[in-house]
Amino acid sequence: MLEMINVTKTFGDFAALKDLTLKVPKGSIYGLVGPNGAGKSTAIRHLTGIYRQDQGDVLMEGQPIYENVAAKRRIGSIPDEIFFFPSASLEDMRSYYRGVYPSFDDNLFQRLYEVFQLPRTSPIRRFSKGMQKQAAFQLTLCTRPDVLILDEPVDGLDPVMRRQVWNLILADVAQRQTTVLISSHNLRELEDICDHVGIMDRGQMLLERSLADMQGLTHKIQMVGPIPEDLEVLHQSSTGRLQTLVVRGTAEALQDRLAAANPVYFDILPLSLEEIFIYELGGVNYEVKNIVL
Amino acid sequence: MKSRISFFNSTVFKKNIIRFCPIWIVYLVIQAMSCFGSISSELFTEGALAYTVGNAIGGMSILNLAYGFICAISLFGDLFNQRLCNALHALPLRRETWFGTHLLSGFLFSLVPNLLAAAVTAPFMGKLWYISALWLLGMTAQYLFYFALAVLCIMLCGSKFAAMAVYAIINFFSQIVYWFITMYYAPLLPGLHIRSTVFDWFCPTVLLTGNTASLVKFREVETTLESNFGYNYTFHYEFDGLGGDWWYIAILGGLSIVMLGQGLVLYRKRKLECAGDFLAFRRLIPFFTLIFTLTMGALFQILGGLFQDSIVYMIVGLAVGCYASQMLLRRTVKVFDKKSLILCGAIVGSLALTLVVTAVDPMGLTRWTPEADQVEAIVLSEDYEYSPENEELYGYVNAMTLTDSERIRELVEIHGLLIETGETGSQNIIELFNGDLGAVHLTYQLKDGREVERRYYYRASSDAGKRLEKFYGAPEFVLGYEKWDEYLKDIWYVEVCDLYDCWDVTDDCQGLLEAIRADLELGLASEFEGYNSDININISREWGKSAYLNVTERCTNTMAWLKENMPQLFDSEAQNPPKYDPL
Repeated sequence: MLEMINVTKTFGDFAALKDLTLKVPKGSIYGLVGPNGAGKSTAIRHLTGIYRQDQGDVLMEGQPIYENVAAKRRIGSIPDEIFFFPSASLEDMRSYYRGVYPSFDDNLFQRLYEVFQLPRTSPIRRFSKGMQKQAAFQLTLCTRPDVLILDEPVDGLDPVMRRQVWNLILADVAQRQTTVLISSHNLRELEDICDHVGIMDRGQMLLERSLADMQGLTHKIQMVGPIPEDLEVLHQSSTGRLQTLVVRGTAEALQDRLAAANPVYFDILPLSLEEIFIYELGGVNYEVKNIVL
Repeated sequence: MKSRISFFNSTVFKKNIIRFCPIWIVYLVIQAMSCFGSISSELFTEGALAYTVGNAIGGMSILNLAYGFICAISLFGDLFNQRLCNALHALPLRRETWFGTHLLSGFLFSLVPNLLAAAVTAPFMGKLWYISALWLLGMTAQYLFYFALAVLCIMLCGSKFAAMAVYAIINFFSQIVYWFITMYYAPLLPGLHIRSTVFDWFCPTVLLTGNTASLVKFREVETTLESNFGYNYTFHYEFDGLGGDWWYIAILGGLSIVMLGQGLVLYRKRKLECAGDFLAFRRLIPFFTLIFTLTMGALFQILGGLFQDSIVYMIVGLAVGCYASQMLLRRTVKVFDKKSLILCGAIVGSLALTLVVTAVDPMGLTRWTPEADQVEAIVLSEDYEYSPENEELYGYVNAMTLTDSERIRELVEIHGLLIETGETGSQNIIELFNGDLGAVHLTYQLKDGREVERRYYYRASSDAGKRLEKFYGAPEFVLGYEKWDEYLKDIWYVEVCDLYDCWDVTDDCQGLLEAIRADLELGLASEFEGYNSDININISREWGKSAYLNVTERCTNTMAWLKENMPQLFDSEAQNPPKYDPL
């Protein structure tokens, strides 16, 4: 279990995290989503032991992560901005990682050369952004982490390599029950692989559930007729007499309420993660504005 | 799942050694070249090499000042790069491990090249091989101090520029304070002695470079060496004991351990997100603002003073310093707001207030004179820079200790007269060279054990000046002797110089010395009158006891001897030499 409990972090006068609570169940793939500036990267820097929280706890299996070598050895992370030593080659970095991570898997590193096909001795700084990302994956996966924390992991990778990287992550999860936390704006990809999702906004956790619960608790309704008064409507629009609603509630409960209201027509549809994200944030005044330029 | 504290990681250590090898290899090459230069010199002797190396220990503080910072900023500079800092601190290493490993690496960056240099030079020093070991010890302690100070500065700052600025300010802060005091406060406190050595103690670079003999002393042994060009040189030295500044080196070593401990504490407290900010700790902002502003004020005054002596430079410097500090701290040039104006006004106002208080002198420091019966002894010197430390270093003839109550009483009266006439404080160099201005330094040893120093300038034509002449003309003051016969025994050589040439008269100086003695005892000669003299007599004795006598027409006995025995002094243009014109 990876968790942040009531964590607050301020940078000067700016509160980046406000009483944030986040729980990543063991063996899950957790998608951390939120608008720009929500505090995702700051949260990740706490979970990887880089930042020290002002208040609250950041724990891995009940133990604090900050300055805890034993905990950090079990965490592999790929930040959004990758950085290697100037002029270091992949082989140099392998030596470095091998010295720092006792669990470093040299055999896997060799095998991953075949997957990524990266130059061994050229300076990594000469690599393209995508190749640097691959290098980071190659190194991080070989530390054999129990927890993998990825900030925009496939950003900059081509479609083939994206699929390749996702496959590697899923294979690792399947084989070793690795816990994975992924922060990404690509919600369609997250929807395919995540089983838990947390939506952050302005340093706080807006919503945190399993994806199945999230998708089972929010639905889209298309209907003609009077709208029942007790529905928790997140979004409403209409085209002629046809009204489209995004509401909270299970499909069964909504079915009963709508049937009781006896509309001319209604249909209950599932929502994608992207739609949940947009409608949930719309409820906290973060929505697409109709601005005429 | 608890982590154990470790202060070393071999992987990080190896990486440090390889990553920063250009730095320590360049340093190694510099040391090797200097060793080679010393050994291959045509003037090389074992003693000369030991002398060079021994005297270089203090001077090396300048090298260590730079190298210590370069090593520290290289090793800990990753803290200033947000991306690299985050990447490294995500690795499973505690800050103690990073710190300890960097520390060891930095220590070896200096120790290994220095050890090699010492090992190479030691065999060439023969029986003085241990000078090499002393050099290594001194170098290591100095380097450790500067390295530790640089690490401390780095922990306080968020950027390389800030670290460099803070390092420079801390290193030379005492000198900045001294400049400030001598420039603004000292002129308001005529007579008070503000000794620079106190400030030098807080600036190792100035203290250690200022006195080469402070660590290792040598005795010169006359050995003639013939060079390729046919000239003969005397270059041979023998070890004459350790100087007194080794305790200072030991304090630096001890301080470096304290600073490194403090550096680790700061590193543990440091928030990594401060990378890129000017300072790492917000609490330091007021201190930095004040110190930076004062530093800029002093620098502007010093630079401006090269053109014109005006307090305007200081005020401009303070304003520039105040706003520049805000720009650095806020990382923007948009600082010309009410807040900065108030801050700037407060600093300038506070400074002005302290100047006013100093000028008013509520404690009466500038008006103080002792009661004659409170005084045990007075050390009188005409050198404005006189101090016991300088006396030990350079040797002074023109200083004497007065213990008889009558002369003490008279000197105390003269002191009162100097304050009364209010001519003190003038430092006009033109007047000084044209002979109307003199200096007097009084060191009172009071009966209650206190020692009080006062120093003044005065005009020769003033009442105080006329009364001081008697003291300055006393033989023991000018020649520094008590028994004339013993004085004569120790003379090495005597030479007479005019503005153009010098003549060695050692073999036939008896008559001249008698004439000089006669003039001195008649009170016809004094050091003060000699400022515009054209003829000088240099009586060379052992270190610190030589005399440099200026001869004027009033020295009738000496003049008579010179006219009779050295007519060449009066034949040429020397009769009407051009007056010294400093402009």
